[in-house]
Amino acid sequence: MRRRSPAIAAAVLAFAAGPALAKKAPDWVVRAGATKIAPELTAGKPAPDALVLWRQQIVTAGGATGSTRLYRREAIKILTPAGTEAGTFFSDYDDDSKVVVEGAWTVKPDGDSEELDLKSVVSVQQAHAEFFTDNYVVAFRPPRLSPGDIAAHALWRKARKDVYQWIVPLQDALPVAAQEVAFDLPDGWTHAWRLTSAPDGYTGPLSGEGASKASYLFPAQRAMPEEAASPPASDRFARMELVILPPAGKFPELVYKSWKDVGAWFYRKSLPARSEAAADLVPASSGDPAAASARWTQDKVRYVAVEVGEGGYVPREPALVARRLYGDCKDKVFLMMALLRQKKIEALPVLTRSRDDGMIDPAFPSPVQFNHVIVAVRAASPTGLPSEVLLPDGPWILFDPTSAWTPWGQLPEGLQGARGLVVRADGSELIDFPYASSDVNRYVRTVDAELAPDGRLTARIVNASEGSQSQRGWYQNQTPEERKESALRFAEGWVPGSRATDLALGNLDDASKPLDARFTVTSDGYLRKSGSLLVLPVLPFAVGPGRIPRLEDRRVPIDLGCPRKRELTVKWTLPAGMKVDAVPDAVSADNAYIAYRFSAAIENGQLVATETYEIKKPVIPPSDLAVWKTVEAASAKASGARAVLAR
Amino acid sequence: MCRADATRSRLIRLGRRAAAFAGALALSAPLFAAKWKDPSPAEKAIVEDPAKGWVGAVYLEKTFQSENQMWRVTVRAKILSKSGFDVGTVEGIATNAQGVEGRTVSPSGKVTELASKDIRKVTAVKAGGRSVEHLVFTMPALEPGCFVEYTYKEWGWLGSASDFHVEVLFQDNYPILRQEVTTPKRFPFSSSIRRQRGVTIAFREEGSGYVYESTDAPALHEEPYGLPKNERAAAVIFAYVIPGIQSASSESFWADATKKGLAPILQEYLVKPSKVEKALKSIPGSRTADPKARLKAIYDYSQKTVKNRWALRAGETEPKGGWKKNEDAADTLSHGQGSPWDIATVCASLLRADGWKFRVVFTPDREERFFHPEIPSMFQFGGWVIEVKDPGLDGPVYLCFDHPLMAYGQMPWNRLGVASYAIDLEAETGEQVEIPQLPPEKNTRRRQWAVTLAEDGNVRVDRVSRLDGAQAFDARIDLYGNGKDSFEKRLRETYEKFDPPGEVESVAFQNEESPEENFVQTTKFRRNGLGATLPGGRLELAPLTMIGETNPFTQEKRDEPIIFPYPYLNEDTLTITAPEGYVPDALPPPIEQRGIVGRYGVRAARGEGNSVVVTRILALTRFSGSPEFYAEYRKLFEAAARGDAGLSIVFQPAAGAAKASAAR
Repeated sequence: MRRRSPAIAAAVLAFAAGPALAKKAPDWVVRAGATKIAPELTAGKPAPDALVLWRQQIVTAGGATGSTRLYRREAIKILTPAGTEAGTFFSDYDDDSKVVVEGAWTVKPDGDSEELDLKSVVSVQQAHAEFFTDNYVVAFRPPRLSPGDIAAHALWRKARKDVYQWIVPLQDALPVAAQEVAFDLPDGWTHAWRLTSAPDGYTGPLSGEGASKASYLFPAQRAMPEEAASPPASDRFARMELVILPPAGKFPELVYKSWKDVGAWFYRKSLPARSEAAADLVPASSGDPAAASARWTQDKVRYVAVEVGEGGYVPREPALVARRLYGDCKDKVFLMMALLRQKKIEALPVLTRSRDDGMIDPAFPSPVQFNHVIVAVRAASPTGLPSEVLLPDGPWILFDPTSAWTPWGQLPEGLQGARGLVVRADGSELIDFPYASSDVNRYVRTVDAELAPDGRLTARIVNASEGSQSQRGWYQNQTPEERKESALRFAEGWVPGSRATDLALGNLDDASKPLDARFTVTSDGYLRKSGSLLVLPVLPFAVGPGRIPRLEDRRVPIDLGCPRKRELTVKWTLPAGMKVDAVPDAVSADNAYIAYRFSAAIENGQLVATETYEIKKPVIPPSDLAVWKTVEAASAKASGARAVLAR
Repeated sequence: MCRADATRSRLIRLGRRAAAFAGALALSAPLFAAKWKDPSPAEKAIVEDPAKGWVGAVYLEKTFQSENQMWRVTVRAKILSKSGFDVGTVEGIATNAQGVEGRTVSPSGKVTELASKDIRKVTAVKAGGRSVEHLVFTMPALEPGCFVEYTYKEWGWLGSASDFHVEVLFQDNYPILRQEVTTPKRFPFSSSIRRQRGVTIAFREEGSGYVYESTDAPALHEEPYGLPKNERAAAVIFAYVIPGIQSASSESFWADATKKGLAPILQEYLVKPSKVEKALKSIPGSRTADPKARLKAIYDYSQKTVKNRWALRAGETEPKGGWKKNEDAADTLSHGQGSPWDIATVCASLLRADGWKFRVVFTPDREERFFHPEIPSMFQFGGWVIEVKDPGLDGPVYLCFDHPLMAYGQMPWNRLGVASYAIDLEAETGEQVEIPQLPPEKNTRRRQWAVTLAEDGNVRVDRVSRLDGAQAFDARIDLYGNGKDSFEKRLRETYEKFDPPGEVESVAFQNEESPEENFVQTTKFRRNGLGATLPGGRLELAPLTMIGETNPFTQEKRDEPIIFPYPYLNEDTLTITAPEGYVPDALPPPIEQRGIVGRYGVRAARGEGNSVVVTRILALTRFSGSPEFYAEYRKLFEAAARGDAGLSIVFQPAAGAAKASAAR
């Protein structure tokens, strides 16, 4: 499926600022300059670098052609030197869609204005040999922007021909002072709309319908910048989902009233790929034939995407994919389905999108919500596997053959808790994907730490990881030398000035077992000596949570991914003649979302420190941020925990 | 870092002019009929072997042949594991390339051809009605143990990237077991060989051509503080032979290039004394008898009178209607704006009018490449500076115009410490020179920290930092180019990410635009929870974790030389005041690591009242060294990282101290 804009745009910006033509800015830009700015819009911490004075988005449709356009006018006030970046527009389009820039202007504080020479609008194809797509990034910046100026542009976009819907964000990483969303459709047409959440100051209904002409004005919106552990932009911003409704009988193929309609669209698109593959691809295996086919597709078919025109949505024939041994997600899925068909196992494609790209809105049936395909494989009976879902006709196992090392029966982290559309010839349905439990997404670190009389540390570390915590893919993407270097960097990161040796990886190629990474870290002078006092930081290589800054101003949930558990046990062996004089106090924090625990004790004559960090519910709403603060405080105390030793 | 590409672009103009005299194009070459080579038994036996550096993939053979103004490329490689699949990904081929073909041979011998429909055209940039496009493809049916082969022909003596200076690399991301480059004897390029890491490029005549061949070239990989990318690989460097400039030997080339190329092109930009006489007389201080003051006055005038269009202040834009084109120094003076090249020509014209003897020094941009006098190519420089020697001055003075905040006599680090080329414009002669780095004592950062520790472990810091030399210049150009607000915002964000997080209360600067003075930054911040409570009621603080030196040299072995931007000396003095009712416990022993590349030292002593004073020095005395010095660099930075993390100052309740001392 299509992927949206990797940030190639940045690379073209250097070219995007072009020469100016001395022309007057349109009236709407001049009017935008007079927009009243509510003080709270610029009061954020940190203060915004720019502010959207006016944004207007107008949806149109051609009565005869059915093609739809989204016109956009935007005027941005540049507040700081860094804010000139906000005046740079970039967007993507492909062979099937279009972006046409009508103009861009800079208005100086004295009212003088300049127009961008449109020859300097730059576009770059987002393609290389392994990700070949007809997507282009278009970029431009109004001329000679500096603080105090207004940067404005007017453009329109044409939608892909299969889609008669638009999603427009009402919030932004910048504050928005005023905005309008409007429909300008042919007479006799109607529209529907829906808000994914209420934007600031909006108290009206969250959905509605209207006639061919309509205007929706929204009050000022505070900035919603990206923060640590924040949900993706599409979940962070309130959005308006727009549906164009032609008169009855006109362009019926462009109207999606239900998820069944969307499923039927993809079913039609995928018909050519529902053909056979060579019969001898997957070697006979004594194991589960579904798991063997899954592993073969994961392992043998390289991810290489060629997404041009229909190639963005239409999977290729399995025989071609098997010959090339490369393909994108949908190619892999349809090849795997062909392999399973040979074994009389039923499988269905499942359209989806990673949580990292935002959750699919179940109330807005539309192909635009998907950018990925996985497969559902029928199970004869319940299996108890983490990725099993119960559909009306029984249990099915979800599997993503594009994720190279996710074991059969599990989902990669970004798909756990996501949604997907199970596509059938009829009766497609949107389902919730399960999260694996924290016992599956697990990371266990054990450290045998030995202290020499001179304070030198020798720590033998074993990291066992599985589920979403698995380090298998990470190690598999490295050469042996790089793996050694990453162990060295790990050691340096946790114990500055240390070294790591003897890296050994267990179960590296066996995705069904936890990955074991073992190595030894040594460091001179780990034991801190202050006069006769010997101070031992008891928790090297901690597994607790990192800090999240600016919690006081936070307006969005904390998104911690999926349920998982991280455990650490450090067993200290002290040199002869050295004993523990005092151990640090235990700390813990336990709530509905997270359980955190640290303790240190003498067990069988040995100092043992343990730390456990479990995410039970991964999304903490802004109303419950206090619970995170208690966890952070406990973890901070633990990471500073010291034992006092004596000779 | 500021860049100085003006020289290269001007030289390219010179080259283009000369290229107009080059001969007519030869007839198109016949298409290359691909003849694949089946894997030999020895090639079939190759498996992944980290000890030999065979990891991921190996290039079995790379051949490049220049013939009739076409450049034929043939590559054969073996994929050893999945991490080597990228050898089957080929990009950047000219869209008018001919005979693009390829095939994959599986370990069992099954052949899968590269289909022509799988060769795709990518639009790199589309703007102003023009497109830059190239071809890409990925080989089919890749699996560990397979062989890939592909070939294509591009127009140009050295392919589509043919320029006046082309480097054909003999090393890549994977080992190359054999590489061969063949050129005709009648060829408009001179060639030079750059050896690297023991790679031998053998040269021989063969029929009507020259052949360059190497075997068993190891893979390249990035290392921290390594050489610039253009210096890392063994290469054959082809330099376009400009008609009229001899290139039989490097000596004759530089003599000729100076006389016929470099000196004349510079002279074109300088103006007669009469044209700048009036300006010269108007410069305050330029008529004094003190040579140093007089020279500085001319330098300051050039820097301040002409707006440097390559170094704009935060938020500044080009003027309405764009920059004006400067044909010579008089134009630059009258327009009041120009590039560093233009400003230098103004200063050189003024110096000449004032009777100074000076040389022009062409310097490489060390971030991009070094200057190798043995290579007969003028396209090795990143800019030029003026060298003034006069009995009235304390040694040679270098005048550089890369940035308006460049101090008199100061140079950016990327032009220092490597070979350069100095030209006497009048005599039209030149010689290799090296402008030395400043010693560490002249690139210093000295910081005074007033650290107040509270009973709850919270820490408040007032810090005054004084920077000079390159460290001050780096800070100044950051403030100038990004603005104070942006600087402060980044600082706050950086502190927020510390563990425990820091909160910046205020930042202030002094002398940020007075390059002759120390740059001073005063920062006040808090680090809550930095101190720890120990069992028994003591307080512990590891104060140097606030400096947090990291060791960049974690790798076990080093293949390439180490090169830092510049040598430096960092001194930190931390005065730590304990909370009321606490006194320092016994202090940690000093740390001293002294070696041939630098020094790290920490000392803690009791200060006034209940305070402790920690002094720390980190000096990098040797800014570059061969791989043999790696252990020394590693030892230095390991000691610094360990020392900063491990130094612990403990305070105990005063009453406890009294009891303890009574007990003794």
